[in-house]
Amino acid sequence: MRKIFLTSAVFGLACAGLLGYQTVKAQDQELSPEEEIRLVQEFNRMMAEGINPGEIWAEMGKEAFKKYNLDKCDFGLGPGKVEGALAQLPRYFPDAKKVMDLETRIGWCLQQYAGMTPEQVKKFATQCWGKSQCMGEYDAIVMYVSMASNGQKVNVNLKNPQVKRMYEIGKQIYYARLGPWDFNCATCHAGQQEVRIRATKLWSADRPGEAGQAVSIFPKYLVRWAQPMTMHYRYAECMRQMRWPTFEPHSDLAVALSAFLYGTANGTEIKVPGIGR
Amino acid sequence: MRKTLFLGLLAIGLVGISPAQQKKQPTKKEAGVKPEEVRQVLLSGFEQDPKFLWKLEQDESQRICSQYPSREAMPAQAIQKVIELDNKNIVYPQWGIFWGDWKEGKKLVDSPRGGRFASYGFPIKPPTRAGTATPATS
Repeated sequence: MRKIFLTSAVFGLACAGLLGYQTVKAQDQELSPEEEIRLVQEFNRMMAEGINPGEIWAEMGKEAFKKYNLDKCDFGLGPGKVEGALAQLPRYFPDAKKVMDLETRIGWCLQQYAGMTPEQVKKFATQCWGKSQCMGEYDAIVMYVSMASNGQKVNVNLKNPQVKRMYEIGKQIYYARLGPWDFNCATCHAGQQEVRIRATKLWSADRPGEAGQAVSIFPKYLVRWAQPMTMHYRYAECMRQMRWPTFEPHSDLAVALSAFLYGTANGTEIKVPGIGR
Repeated sequence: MRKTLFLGLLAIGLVGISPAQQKKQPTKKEAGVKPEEVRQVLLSGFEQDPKFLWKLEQDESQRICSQYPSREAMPAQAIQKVIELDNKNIVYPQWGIFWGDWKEGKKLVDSPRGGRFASYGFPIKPPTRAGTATPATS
């Protein structure tokens, strides 16, 4: 019952947004492309200021967090303590003997405390990938834990040699050109010149502060899919568009990229959930 | 035979380069991380489907390009080198017939999938309509 209510709430919001956009479009038939882009950005800004449907997932996540025994999970601040957890991740965990970011840690804890096998964890984490209007419990857990760090500043401890090593590896992978189309992350996310995909302006690692703004709002609610996008799903989608093989969530590659991105974003205030087109 | 008409800078396979020339390039590599470690972490992050693992092999021109933070920061000399390397990989059609079946090429251009593939959520068959990045409708 509760799920039906939540789903209809999301649909309602999405429909309202779509209607608003349609009326804006209908009024301005003879606009230049630049004007249209400006209007879409205005719509996004209004959505950003108003209610964010991503918060519904946080409510769901609060229940799922208990359901999967994650209150035993230590995010680096003590068992079950989620306030400020995202701000200090990725970090080195002595119990797993690995550097882990938030989602990898959740996956590890699901194996330890919820009795899942690695295959089950992967299926659980990717249940909403490639879909839209999907209410996933995994997305909900990530959203709940992330939102508990709202207002805190990203503070990855790069003095730790293990984290620093992952940071350097992530940096090299960021600039590694691979695949049949010669892509690297820097193809789109580097340089002083502005790069766009359609109307969306892409952040650049070379323009100061932009990496932080991009990273600190994840998981991010996407209006066009009517569901949130977690960081690992973002990596997977980027790599699909780069014509690389299918990305594996909770892998060392994801941790290395997270270490590089969150390490670069040090000092930025976390504002979860973000909202995007 | 006609399908060999792919003229592009997409190079697959290794082309030799003398080590002396490579040393001149300013490397961005940090001390302490070996290339093998990076490679290992990279390989761990993908599904081990042998159909697609060839995509992770880096060729020489890709290796040169990987050393610079962005294309704006790439010196003209390195760009020249990459152009030379990739010119060698262009395969011209045999028998001197340059004009292939343009309808085959049009199919490639029109395809929205464009070589993208992921094992989650996407049908194997490419969609008939292009123009959207939404997985649910494509």
